[in-house]
Amino acid sequence: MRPDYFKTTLLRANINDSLDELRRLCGDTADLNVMEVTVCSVKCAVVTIEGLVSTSAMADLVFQPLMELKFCTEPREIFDFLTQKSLLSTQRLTVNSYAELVRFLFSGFCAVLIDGFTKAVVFGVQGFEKRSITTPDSEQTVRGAQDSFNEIIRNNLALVRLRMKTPQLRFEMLQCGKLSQTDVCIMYLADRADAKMVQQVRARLKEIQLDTVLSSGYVEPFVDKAYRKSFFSSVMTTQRPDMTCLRLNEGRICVLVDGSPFCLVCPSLFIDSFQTMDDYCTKPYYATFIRWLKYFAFLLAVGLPGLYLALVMFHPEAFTLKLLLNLYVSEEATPFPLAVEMTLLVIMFEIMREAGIRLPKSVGGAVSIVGGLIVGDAAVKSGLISVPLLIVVGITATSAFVIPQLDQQISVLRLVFILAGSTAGLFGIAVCSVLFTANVCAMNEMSVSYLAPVLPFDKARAGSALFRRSFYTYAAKQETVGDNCETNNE
Amino acid sequence: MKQIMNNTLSPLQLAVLMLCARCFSMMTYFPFTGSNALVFMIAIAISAALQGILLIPAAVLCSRRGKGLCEIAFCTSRALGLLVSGAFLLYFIWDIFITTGTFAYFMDSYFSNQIARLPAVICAGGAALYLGGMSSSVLGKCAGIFFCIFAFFAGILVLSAITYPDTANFHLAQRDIPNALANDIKGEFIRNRELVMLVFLLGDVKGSKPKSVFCYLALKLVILEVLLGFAALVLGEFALATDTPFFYLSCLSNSSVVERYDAGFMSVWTVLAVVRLAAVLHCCARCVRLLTGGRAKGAAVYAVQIIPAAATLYLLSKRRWKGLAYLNESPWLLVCAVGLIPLAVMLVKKRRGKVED
Repeated sequence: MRPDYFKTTLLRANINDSLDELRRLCGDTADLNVMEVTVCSVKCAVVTIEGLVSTSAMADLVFQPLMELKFCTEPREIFDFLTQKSLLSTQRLTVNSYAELVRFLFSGFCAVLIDGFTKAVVFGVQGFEKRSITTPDSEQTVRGAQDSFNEIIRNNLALVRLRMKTPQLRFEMLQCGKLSQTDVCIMYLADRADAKMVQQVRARLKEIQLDTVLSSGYVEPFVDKAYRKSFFSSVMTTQRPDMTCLRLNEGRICVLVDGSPFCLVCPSLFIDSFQTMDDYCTKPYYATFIRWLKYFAFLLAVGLPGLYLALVMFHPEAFTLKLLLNLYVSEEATPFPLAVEMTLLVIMFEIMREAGIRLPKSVGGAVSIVGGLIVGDAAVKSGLISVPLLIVVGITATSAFVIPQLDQQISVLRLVFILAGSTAGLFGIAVCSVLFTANVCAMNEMSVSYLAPVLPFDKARAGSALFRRSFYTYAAKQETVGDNCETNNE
Repeated sequence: MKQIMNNTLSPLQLAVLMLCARCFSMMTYFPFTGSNALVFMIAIAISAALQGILLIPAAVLCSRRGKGLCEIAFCTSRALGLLVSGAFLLYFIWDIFITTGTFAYFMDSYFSNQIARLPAVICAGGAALYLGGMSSSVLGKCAGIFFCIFAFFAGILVLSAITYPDTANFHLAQRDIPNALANDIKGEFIRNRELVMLVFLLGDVKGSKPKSVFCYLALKLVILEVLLGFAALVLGEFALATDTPFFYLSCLSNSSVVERYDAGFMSVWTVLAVVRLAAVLHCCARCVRLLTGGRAKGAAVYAVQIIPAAATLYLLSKRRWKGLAYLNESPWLLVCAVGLIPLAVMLVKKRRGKVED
């Protein structure tokens, strides 16, 4: 069979031929259900895929109306009844090729084929098992909404639509993955999003030549063009419908992938990682305080271990005598060099964190207790590691939890800074900082600087990086990410 | 990446990039050439005014044409373009040589326990190569961040350094003031090698070019006057005796934290060195591209920079850098590159225009 045979072949007029061809195309797959029935002396067939359709919906919406149909003699009359004279389902389409027929069948539709007619009618009667809407795992809030996306794209679209009752909200559905034919939806507000950006995202998604698209992670490298070159990601993910709406309102473009509970938001900015929905539920001064706290936590999480090593190993003069003596006494008792001790401890922490994430939640807590408390305490008591070092790693780890969006980057950067600090002191840290800053400054996805609105400096908007403005200000002027576009003068 | 070719800078970004380069020079070696702080401060102001006058042709030319000096020269005639780009390339090679060597030499002199001179050159050079390989827009953004860090650092140093102000150095009772002023102006002027980069990068400015020049000169004047004035006020006679008054500011701090600021000074100084080196490497690479008509790509663009790097490493390894570290270049080199070349391009362009009319 030619590879494009499947795509180009049209349905046959003879129902037996059509069904044989369908069975042949699907390789007589076990989950293909074909129910042949005679309606008013015309031979028909109802085709479904097992497990994807609701039996009760089928009975009420398809079987019963078909069986009650009388006084029809021509296939055309049955077709007209199904497509024009009845309302059997909210989703009703006609298809004339096997490619379309198979795609709808595998999406949970039921198809009615009529003998002597080269078209089939498909009805949306999906009834597959799905996870209910639960609280978000990764972006908990105190006062924000408690619902999150699940794996079904249509549910996710509804969650967004419920919050944005404007005709400006547009959903564009595409199919990605040569085999999986996964539904991917581009969401944007037509009056806020930059038309060029939407076009770019659309074009990039159409470029995807993967066989399967099983989660949003498959799509991310295609949406983010600097994915391989930049350390940070200019596409952020969110599990929250309210956060998605917030970003849509800022002119961002969101991408939902069927089968993934995470929504991609592009272009994203560095400051986005430090903002949560709770910022908009508290007083501006408190939200501002928390924002500052997060920036500080980021610096601690990335730089503290490296800085500690650099100061202790290369610049002990930076400490006061009392502190220096305390550190000396603690370190003197341990068998490993300071750099080895720190690296091992940080790697051990990463192992325990990874174990905690992958294990079931009930066991994950036990890992923290065994790893953190029992092993940590035993290591200090046995003199393998020093107490100041444990404090430093503890502070670092806790600080990293404050910014879960930058978790991956923090983990690696921390190790890089440890290496730099332990080999060349503050000189190494300074050189590493330049490299890291240069990489971040080079991020310019869709002509929007990752460091906007601080760099390039925008007097009117830079304040939002540090302060949460009042809702009166938001009401006066809504800013969009397109305002930060840098014109490319190539 | 798309942004690699996005060579656009705001007037402030270019000014800040140049300030980073100037602050590196100031932190490295900045002796009070005369014997009087007030005279030296007046000399700095006069020097800034002179630099402003020198930069007029370049600012006017780039402003009118909306391009860089080399591009304008190439538009006028290929020979002129090659000549101008070649001259700039030679100057940038010299600048790379001096900046790298001076950084390594002073790193070894002041912070020898930190890292040896050769690894220092390799590490800083590698980082500068990475940064320099990006667009001037990225350089500008990075410079913005690092200048803020420098400002924060300098601010803390100045605020905590006020002990007993010594105004003994602030007077005009000096013998042969015009001669002292002339010496100081010359001494200050030759330390502004970044002016050549400023002229070269003016074409990248998206906005007012004169504003960028003014911004740079004004900010530089304020920073130098404030920091050196403070150093003279706090350090007294010692400010005149040392080559790096800014470095010694922390010694007389009120705060026990700032008192131990050597490591902080070193890291800020290193960052500024890398930014300066990256800016020169970037300009140098663009000169090579212009000279080869865009045929040189990738690593080939940086091949020419092997010459100054090799020379620097050789002299550093033989411990012969001391003479170069305190070298007083001829001011005419800078006058030519900053003032005369743009003026010449301007005149040729004008003449060409008349002939064509």
